[in-house]
Amino acid sequence: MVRCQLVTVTPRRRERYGNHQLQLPDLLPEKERYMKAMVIDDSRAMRTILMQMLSEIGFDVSGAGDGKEALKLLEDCKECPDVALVDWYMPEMSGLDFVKKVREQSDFDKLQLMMVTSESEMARVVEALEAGANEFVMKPFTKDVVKEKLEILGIHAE
Amino acid sequence: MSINQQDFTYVQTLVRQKAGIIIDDGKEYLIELRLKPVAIKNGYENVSGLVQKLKEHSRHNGTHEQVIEALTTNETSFFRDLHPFEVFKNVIVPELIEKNAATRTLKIWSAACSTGQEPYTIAMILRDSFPQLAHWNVSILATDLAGKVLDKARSGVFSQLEVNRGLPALMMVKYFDKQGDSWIIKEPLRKMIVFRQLNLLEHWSGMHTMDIIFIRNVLIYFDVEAKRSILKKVRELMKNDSFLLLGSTESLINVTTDFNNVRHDKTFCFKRKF
Ligand SMILES: C[S@@+](CC[C@H](N)C(=O)[O-])C[C@H]1O[C@@H](n2cnc3c(N)ncnc32)[C@H](O)[C@@H]1O
Repeated sequence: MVRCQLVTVTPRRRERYGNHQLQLPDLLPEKERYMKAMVIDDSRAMRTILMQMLSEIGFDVSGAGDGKEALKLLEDCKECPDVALVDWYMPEMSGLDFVKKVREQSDFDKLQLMMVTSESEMARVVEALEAGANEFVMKPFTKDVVKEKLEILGIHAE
Repeated sequence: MSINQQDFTYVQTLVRQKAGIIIDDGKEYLIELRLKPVAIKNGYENVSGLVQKLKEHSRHNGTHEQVIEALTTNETSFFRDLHPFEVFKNVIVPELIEKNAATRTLKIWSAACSTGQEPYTIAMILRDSFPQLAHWNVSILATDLAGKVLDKARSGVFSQLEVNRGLPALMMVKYFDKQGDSWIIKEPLRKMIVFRQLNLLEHWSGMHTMDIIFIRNVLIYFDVEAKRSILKKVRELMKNDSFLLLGSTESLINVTTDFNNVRHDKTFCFKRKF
């Protein structure tokens, strides 16, 4: 029996499986498992841009508007994302606090954290790395910048 | 106004002779686009005026150099394509440290180094992962045809845009200082590299044998004869154990059979055949 699930039609899937509503076997072989990324940014416009880029790179993407919401999503979700892209300044819980909170919990040891922020001072980069962030992207950025930084973390979506 | 056929052919021949760079027929727009700023900077209304000047002073002068620089691609980034630099760190350098233990020397050449990201990447990896090399005689030679990119490389000053590309945050923190909007390579790292002008197509003076040669993303601009003649000279600078690294999309197929390739996952390294 092949069980099916509905999935988002990313451009890459469209390329691979054609341009119709997709039904894929839910037990995808190891290589067919899509990398998952979560975008945490309070600006809806920025979130949309990043989510679009990541989906083009080949990720399954989800989004959250601040650290608190993101933490809740993480605690609820059955399969943890591989990487979270985190803005610095957000209401409720800042990106830096989010990073610290995530690093307090051993459940998320494998989750890679990448700050994506308009902060560009050396001291901020150091602060983020010390808090447990794995990478740091300065705004403005391009899709290539994001892709290269993810590759540094050993995350290849293709 | 678009460049006329005669001027186009003149520029095409000039950059081919001086830099080995091939500009295909039909690329008039490219020449127009790239040379317009050079024309204006030199006080000419259009590219025609500039070409006229080039023809009058066919001997080497500053204008020729500016034209060649404007028509070469300097695109580069730190840790470009990442994987070759992982192979450099995990395979090549460890192997050479073993093989060169008696002489304690390691000689690296980044040919066509553009604005310096490639040699600085090499220097960062050596500093970061091989503290034992502190007691070795390590040299990194970085060369390029264009004086302008070499000046920038030498200065070690990079923009936010440039450090955002491919540079691990940890490396940024360890090996750069920030001043205003600029990111500046720290002095000890800068001192590891010697920058020098060298045209790959001309006679190479003062070159010695190398342990590792990077000629990445430059041979693609040359025709097959030029590639062969460069690779012949490269081969002469290599010993049994030396490595040659090309750009990730480049190969030697149909160019030369003088090298064996050693594959590490998706990166090909080349060794000379004896
Ligand atoms: C695309 S960049 C490659 C930079 C770097 N190796 C990399 O892979 O990122 C090409 C460089 O080749 C240089 N170049 C072009 N023709 C050359 C020649 N005949 N001799 C030496 N350098 C040359 C250009 O000035 C430019 O900086």
